[in-house]
Amino acid sequence: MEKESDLNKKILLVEDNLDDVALTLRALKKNKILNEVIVANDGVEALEYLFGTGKYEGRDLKDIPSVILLDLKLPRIDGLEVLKRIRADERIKMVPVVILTSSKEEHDLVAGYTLGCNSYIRKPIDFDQFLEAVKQLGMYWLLINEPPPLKIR
Amino acid sequence: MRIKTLLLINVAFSIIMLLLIGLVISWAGQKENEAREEEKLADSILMTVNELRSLLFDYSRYHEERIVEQWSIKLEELKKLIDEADFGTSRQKEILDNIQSELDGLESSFSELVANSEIQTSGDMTTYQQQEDRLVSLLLLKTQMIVLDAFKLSEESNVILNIAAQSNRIIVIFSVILTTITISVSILIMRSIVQPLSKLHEGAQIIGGGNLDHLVNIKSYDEINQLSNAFNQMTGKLKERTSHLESAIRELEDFAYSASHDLRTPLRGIDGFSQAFLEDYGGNLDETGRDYLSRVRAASQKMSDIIDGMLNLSNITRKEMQIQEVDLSGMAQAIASKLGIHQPQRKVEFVIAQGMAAKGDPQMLGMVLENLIGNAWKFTSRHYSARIEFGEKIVDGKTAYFVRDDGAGFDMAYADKLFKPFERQHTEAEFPGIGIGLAIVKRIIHRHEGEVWAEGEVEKGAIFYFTLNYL
Repeated sequence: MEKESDLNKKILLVEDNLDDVALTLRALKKNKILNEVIVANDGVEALEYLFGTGKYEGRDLKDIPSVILLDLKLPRIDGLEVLKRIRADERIKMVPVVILTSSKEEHDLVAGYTLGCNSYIRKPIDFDQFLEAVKQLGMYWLLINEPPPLKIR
Repeated sequence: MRIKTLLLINVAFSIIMLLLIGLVISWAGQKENEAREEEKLADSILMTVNELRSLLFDYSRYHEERIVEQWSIKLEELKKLIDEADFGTSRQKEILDNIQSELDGLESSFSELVANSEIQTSGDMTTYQQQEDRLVSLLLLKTQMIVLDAFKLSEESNVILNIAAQSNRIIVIFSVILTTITISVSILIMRSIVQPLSKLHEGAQIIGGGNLDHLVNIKSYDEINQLSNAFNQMTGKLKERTSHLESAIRELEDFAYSASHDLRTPLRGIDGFSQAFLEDYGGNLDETGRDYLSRVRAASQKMSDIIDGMLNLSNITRKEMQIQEVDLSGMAQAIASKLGIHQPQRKVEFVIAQGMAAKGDPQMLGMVLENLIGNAWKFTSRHYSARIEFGEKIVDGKTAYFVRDDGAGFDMAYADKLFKPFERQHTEAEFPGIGIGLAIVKRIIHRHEGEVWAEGEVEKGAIFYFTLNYL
């Protein structure tokens, strides 16, 4: 699989729980998805990365992640707000966003899809199922799915 | 006017009426008695005067000392009668006084007569005879006067009797008038109580039915109005209380939801890192070490099931219901086929009554049937063959749906525990599960304002009934 996947395609993982970060990274590695993963631990950091501000001042903004794995419950700025700002920005509004959360509350689902997420996955507790889910979403978004053309200023 | 005032008027009228009747009757009775006494007296006077008269005649003929004595006795009797007579009216007194003075005259004239006869032997015969005649006539005249007076007395008592009768008539008329007033007031009271009371009753039923916005509207200025105001206030309080309770329940549900939700994240860590540990360092562990780690994973899996059960349970309460006609027979049929496809080796006969339909939330009723039929399937799994029936029958005048199986059944002594979350009747090894299914069924049925209950016998099977109230 790694032969076909374009290793330049980056994944932005927005997740505040360090255990979940470690498990997600492990699941990606286990599934031989070796693309670079940028980890943002809250909404603010995610936005800084996406818009090249703060910690990511001067980052090349043409380098847009191929998929964003977005948790909903985040400190400071929450996932739904991050999604809203992504969709509101001309440059990155087409980036595929996969909500990866432990919530399956109806209003979260409705809000996620209303704000334009591309997929909504509820993190399974069982690690084998989690592994399977990460494998599926990696395969789908990094291999099968044709990404939107990058918008260059 | 206030009901209390009306009632007071009624009571006052009744008391006045009773007093009046009592007074008049006793007064009239007294008058009547007096009149009768007088009549008796008049009779006695008449009788005695007659006797005096006949004594007078006897005396004028025989001039005996014995007769004089009798005369004195009779006269004394008469005097005594008059003396002892005690009558009210002045007219009667006047008559009695007359009789008294006439009696005095009678006495002195009779003494003269007696004195005259004593001088008879010595005096002139003719003068004596003349004198005696004159005295006898005078005495007769005087007795006649007394007789007349006695008649007058009798007449007077008749007049009194008439007055008493008259007042009795008046009191009857009065009673009729007062009774009419009392009855009218009573009708007024009845109207001002009965109508508003039935309105209140109706209101209580509407409010009891769940419409807490209903207000009882009674236009009056009496106690009923106060009652209806208090009633409306109570309804307001009830509404307030209910909404407080509802929001408290909602808060609890939200808490249960987010608590169980938040438990998932650390649990994922436990499971994930145990797995990672097993994978990366499992080689360095002996059999026991690996067994411990897989027990950690099994335990976290179990906990994950419990958390999911809690989330499902609280979702039932939180979910908005969408009521529509639900084809229960079709739903049960679909569930049965799915189970059959899943475990084709099992010999299970499904008997599903056709055409059962009810109003309710289709997703929730689907969960009810899935749980009940799924349980029947599960708890017959240790029997070689099984029969599962889904049908309806009338219980206490209501349609009850039932799922019957001939599986492991249960001890009726524990029937009340069946529907409690995480309560189980069998070990995990016998029949897997976390014990949330029937709790979910119960919540769903309660949200449909129905009832759910079960009957069973160990190894003979179980039957689960439920009713729905959106019929």
